[in-house]
Amino acid sequence: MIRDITIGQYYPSESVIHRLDARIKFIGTIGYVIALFLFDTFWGFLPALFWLGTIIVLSRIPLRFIAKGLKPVLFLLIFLALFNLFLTPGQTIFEWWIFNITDKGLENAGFMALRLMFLVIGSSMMTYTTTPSQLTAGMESIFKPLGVFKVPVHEVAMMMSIALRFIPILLEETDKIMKAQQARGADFESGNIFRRAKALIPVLVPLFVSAFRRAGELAEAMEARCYHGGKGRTKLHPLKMKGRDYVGLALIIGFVVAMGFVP
Amino acid sequence: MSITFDKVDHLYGKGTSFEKMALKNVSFHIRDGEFVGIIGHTGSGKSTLIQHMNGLLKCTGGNIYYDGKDISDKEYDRKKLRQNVGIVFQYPEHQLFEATVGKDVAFGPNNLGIPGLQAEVRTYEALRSVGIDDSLLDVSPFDLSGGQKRRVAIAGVLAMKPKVLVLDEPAAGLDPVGRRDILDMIAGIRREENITVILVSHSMEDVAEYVDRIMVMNDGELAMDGPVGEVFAHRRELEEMGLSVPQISLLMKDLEDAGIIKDTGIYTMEEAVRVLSKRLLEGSGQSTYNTTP
Repeated sequence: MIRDITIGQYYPSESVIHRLDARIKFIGTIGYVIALFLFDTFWGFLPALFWLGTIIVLSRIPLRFIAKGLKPVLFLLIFLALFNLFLTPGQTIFEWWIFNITDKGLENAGFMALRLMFLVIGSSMMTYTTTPSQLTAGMESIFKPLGVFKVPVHEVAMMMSIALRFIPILLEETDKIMKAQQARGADFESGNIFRRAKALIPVLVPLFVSAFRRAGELAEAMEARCYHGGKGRTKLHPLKMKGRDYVGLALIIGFVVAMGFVP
Repeated sequence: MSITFDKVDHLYGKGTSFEKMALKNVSFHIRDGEFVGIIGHTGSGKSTLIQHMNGLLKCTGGNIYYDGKDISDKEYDRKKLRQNVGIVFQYPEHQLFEATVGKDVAFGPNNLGIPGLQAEVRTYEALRSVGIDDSLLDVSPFDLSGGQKRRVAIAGVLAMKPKVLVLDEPAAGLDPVGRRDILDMIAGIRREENITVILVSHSMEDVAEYVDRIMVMNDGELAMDGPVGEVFAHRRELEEMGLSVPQISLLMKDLEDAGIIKDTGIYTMEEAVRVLSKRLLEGSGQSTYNTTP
């Protein structure tokens, strides 16, 4: 069902990764993404797998939950793999009608699909283990220097965390509306693609109406509590680097540098 | 049309840290034409329970029978089931989407493949039975008041002519007058259409006056099931579940304990008025107690 979408969600658990400073996790994610683009042979996936596997094990998040997170990008994944498979020039190893698979195509398809999977799972690990409020605080702290160039750092961070926070709410709302319309005989599962798209109107209209209503309510609630942007705002739980955070940072730097040496 | 639950379980989010047993071994039988109230604290499994009645959720254990037929059978016509068991969800006004009131109400009949004219007749009938004037047929549902929107949404389910009508907190978020109006309207529809009605609520006060039978849900289990008076007699157990009996029945219980009245199990205002005025009249021939000067 639609509630199975886990991308951008927080998975509550007690683990070292959960307790890590949000800034470290953010830097770690960026470092990991850069590292994934530093190599261009399959050998590079070995250390990347080791790194990602260690984080997953440490985070105590069930593999099934992580696998579910790949579902929404599955279509993109297949699309990417197919394009690479058929459109890369090279030595032909298989030919049928207009289809032409080359050795290079096969290699590219596998490589791209793997890289995308590593990207999605790796960056999801950050949102799985960090609450939206920690995430906001972390991003705000990292991007603070941009404030010099009049970038509204706090506001942007706040917007991003609200957007993340609203994903589960809107998914739940979608689920509710779909059920209500199904109770009125709506059918989302049969018919061709146009019929199915049309069948979504009774879901999308109420969803948009409710999204706007919620946005308005949230804005009012924030104003009622005297929210006026980031100026002069203090924190209940200020971010503070601890011993494990420095260890984490050192490991991240080590990993990225090491990945630079992978052929 | 009868609904039978036989040892029904429902497990949410299997294998994750969100895992929760939302229904545990729930068994009951609802006969044709009954007026049942399902009561329970927030998160007690009421909403999960009713979603099983029209097959929106599938039970993870046990069996559900509609009219004696197992609804989890592969050949079972689920579309027919959704027509027969109409569910009005909480805040049903949030599901309105069409450009006009008439079109929105006709959404259900259209999905069932009912021909145009007949669907139109059903739309009129449904709107009339919820007390929405014909003049509002071509108005956008988003321009209506909150109470009117809810009525239109209920009409949307009624237009499918269900044999069982399930309403999840139909009076939520309305003012006292609005609550009474909506509940009176539902009781009226039940009388006229002669259908089974299941009213879900967390409020004893709302339900007591209307239904004949109460099912109490607590922590996913069916804790009590019986006639209203019988259930309300278990005041202490209800309070332990975070529920309370109606104010009027507390007062009447106190009067009974004080030896002023002899009647037990009174839970509606009307009945209380009847008993008390009878008691006042017979209590003494003195004019001080007389209600008529």
